Amino acid sequence: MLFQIQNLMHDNFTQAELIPSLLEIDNHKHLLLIGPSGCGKSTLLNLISGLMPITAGDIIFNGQSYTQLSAKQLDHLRASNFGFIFQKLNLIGHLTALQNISLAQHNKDRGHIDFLLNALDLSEFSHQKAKDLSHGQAQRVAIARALANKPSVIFADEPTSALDDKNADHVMNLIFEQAKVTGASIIAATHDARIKERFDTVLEVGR
Amino acid sequence: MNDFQLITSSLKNRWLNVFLSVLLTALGVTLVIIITQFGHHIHSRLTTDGKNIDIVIGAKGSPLQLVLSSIYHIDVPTGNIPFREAQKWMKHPHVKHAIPLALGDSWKGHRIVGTSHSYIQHYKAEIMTGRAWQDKYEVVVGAAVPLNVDNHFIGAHGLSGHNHQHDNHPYTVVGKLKPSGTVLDRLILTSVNSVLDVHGQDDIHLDHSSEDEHAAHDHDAHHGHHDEHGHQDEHAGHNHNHTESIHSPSEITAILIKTKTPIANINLPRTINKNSALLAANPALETARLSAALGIGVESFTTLSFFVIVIAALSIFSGLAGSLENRSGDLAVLRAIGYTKTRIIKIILAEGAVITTAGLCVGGLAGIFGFNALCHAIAPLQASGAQFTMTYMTATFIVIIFIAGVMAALVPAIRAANIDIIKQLSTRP
Repeated sequence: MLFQIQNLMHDNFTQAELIPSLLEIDNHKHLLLIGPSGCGKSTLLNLISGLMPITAGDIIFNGQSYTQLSAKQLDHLRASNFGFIFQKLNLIGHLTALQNISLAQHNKDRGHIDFLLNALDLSEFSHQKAKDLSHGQAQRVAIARALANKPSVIFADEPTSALDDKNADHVMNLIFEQAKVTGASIIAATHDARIKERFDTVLEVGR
Repeated sequence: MNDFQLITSSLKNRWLNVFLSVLLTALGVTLVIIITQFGHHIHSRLTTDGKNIDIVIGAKGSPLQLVLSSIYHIDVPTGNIPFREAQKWMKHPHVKHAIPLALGDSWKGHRIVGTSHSYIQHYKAEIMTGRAWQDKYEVVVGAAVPLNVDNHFIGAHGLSGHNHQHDNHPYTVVGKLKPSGTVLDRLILTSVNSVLDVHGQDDIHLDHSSEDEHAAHDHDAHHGHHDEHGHQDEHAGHNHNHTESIHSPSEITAILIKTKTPIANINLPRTINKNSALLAANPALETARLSAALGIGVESFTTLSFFVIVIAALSIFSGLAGSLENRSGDLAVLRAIGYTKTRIIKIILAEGAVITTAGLCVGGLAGIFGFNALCHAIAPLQASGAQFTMTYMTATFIVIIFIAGVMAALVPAIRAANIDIIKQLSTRP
């Protein structure tokens, strides 16, 4: 079992308002949180990824209870196990593409960075500042950053919301291909129904 | 990518902000160095030049003026005193050493001081070239006086060097002192009799064996007291007899005294001031008053330097705190991908340390070169041989500035570590 989410509560809602009182996610399985804007799917994603503190209930990741971990231990858990693809990409503009990717890598595996640069067709731009990249290049850098630490879970918030069909398909292909290589699970939050078929479990948040 | 690369990249990205912080810090460091160096130099000169001089005896007037003119040679003397009267106190049983000084003339701003060889010995100065004076009109010059052995010059009446010259009495340089870091460096030393002779006064005879001076021939009885110029102007010092043909009674300007006991430091001046027409001043007391009057006491320097350090620290604080607004999104990314709060604090503190260190290096160099440049540009400093010396106080201030700089980064660092990750990531453009 990768995740076990029990009776989750937050200041703004109870789990009952969002998802079942017990939600389990198996290893190597992909979960999609789908729903309209403002339904709480991003909040749920942030809670599961440990970016937001839970008010009540518990989230257990690989046997480790979030409520039992200190803030520092939770930071370490996130750094070692999770990769993030943010809705606004959130690259650090004054760093190069290569630096943005290696920023998330804590084990100094240069070989894996080179592999990602090649796989995502970024070698040519690796020394270009992130602020100077096109949106497509920046999106690929953000995916590479999420994979740099060979995470067991990739969290993606609205990964295709601003993309046309072709690009949305391309981005999801990249994410799933790389997740397959590293054996990572993907947990994504979106209102984009085009990508539903790719996930093992689709949870309609707020229904 | 390690944290150092992240820090340097972040600083480069905010180069203007960083540059201003470094500049302000450097300015603070420069001021602190110059202030502490001035303080050190003045304190050093006051203590070095006044060391082992317990009492100064001279003509009635301002005690501070007497001390400044006789020990530090930076003011006009209060007047002259009859050597016969002075001799009584020089031979007083409580007096250990007494050094006579006869002032009144100068050469290009360097005072010609009629004295005994014990004046050189008092400051433990050594002759670099030549020898000590033996006869009248032979002089030994200090290291900062632009004269060499065998040079000849004519002294001018008064202490500014722009007055009437004693054309009939050329001096010959017979020795030059090694730099001693004392007032001797900028003086021209000769026998008391040289100065007396120039001014048409009778010789006195010195007893070198006892380090005391006494008159073997006192001609007061023959000539009477003669004072034609007064004592409180630029020409104060030896009265100048323009005819220089009729000798008048011997007068000297001051006596520097070392007493035998500390209690004599207190009692002897009281006795002199009460029972004679002379003035006895305590140099330690007068220099303390001078420090207080000029605001150059240690407390003044410390307070001023403290404010400069606060300004430097505030500049670092404002630089880092101001930049937080623009980089909170970047910091939120770092927090999200697993950078701990402690690591974020270390990164921001390190940025503060880099800015402070850069400011210290730039300000340190500017302070050293600036102070040395001032020492060359300002005549009294140049004359007194001032130059940068790493002192305990300067080193202490540098350490305090570094700590203050890093501490100034602490509040922004804690704020950075506690940013709302989700809010920053969602509101980031």
